[in-house]
Amino acid sequence: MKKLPLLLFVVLAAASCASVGTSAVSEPEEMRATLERERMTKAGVLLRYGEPNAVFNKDGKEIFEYKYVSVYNNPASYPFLIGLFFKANRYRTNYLYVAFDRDGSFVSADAVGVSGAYPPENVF
Amino acid sequence: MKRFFLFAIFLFAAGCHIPTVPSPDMLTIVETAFDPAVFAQGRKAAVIIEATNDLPSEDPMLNNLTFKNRRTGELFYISTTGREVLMISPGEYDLVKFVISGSMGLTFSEADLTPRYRASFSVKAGDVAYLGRVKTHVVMGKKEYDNFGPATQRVRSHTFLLNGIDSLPADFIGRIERLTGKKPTSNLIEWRKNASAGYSR
Repeated sequence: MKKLPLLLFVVLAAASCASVGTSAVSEPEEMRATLERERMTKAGVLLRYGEPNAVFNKDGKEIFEYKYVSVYNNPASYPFLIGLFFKANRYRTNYLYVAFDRDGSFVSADAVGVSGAYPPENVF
Repeated sequence: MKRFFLFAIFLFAAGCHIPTVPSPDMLTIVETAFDPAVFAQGRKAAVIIEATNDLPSEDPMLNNLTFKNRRTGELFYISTTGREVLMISPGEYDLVKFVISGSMGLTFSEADLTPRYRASFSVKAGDVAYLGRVKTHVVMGKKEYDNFGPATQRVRSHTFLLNGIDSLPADFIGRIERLTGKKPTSNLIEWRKNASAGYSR
């Protein structure tokens, strides 16, 4: 019985996030810095980070796209009355584009990310 | 400690604000929201779609369309009373859901038009495609009164695709060019009746 409030709190906290993608991309700058420093080959990147979300060609290079997308509860919206001034959920999208040349050698890594209150703002 | 947790739960619930548990649909909405920096990478396509209806209601009723990528199964959702710009993966897409919903007076109404229509389109990476305007026109029949029951009224609807790329506002096209680097081109949805299900109108 004593453990019930704690269990309820943990369940509510755990249910407050949905995500998809490669967890390493949740810190895209860190992943980009690692790739730039180690200049991993295509095989090395596949071994360490797994299959990318997508593979495509651009300007003669092969590009791996890794992504991490999450939507999570905004804790600022929990407190009584004060919470009404905040949106209930926030989101974060991180993409990492790793470019390789024809022989599989590392060329560059580019991190793109955006976060904000859910739903995303319409830029148009 | 127990009192602290009970108090925390009380604050949580007493705020009349039960947090919405994030769902996979929300992830799709976030991923398909247009972002210039992601689009510039060259892998996604930008699609512009308009959806309107003239159902008689105080507030415009929402047009909800869901499309599915034939190869990957990825979905994207359109929920609009006017115009939407989304960012999607390249490929061929089919319509899997078409529902018009909203408030009509005191009741919430939903018209599921999914079985009546087939629609598909195809986009490539880097495309900035205008898919067309999905317009639903409604003709309300005469009200028929019954002494023993509520009045009934037949409703006939017809959904068709318009090509309105020339009627898109100049400032909107300017914004598209600025954010995508390209002018939009017409790539209309192939919209047709589901004759195999017996719909001819």
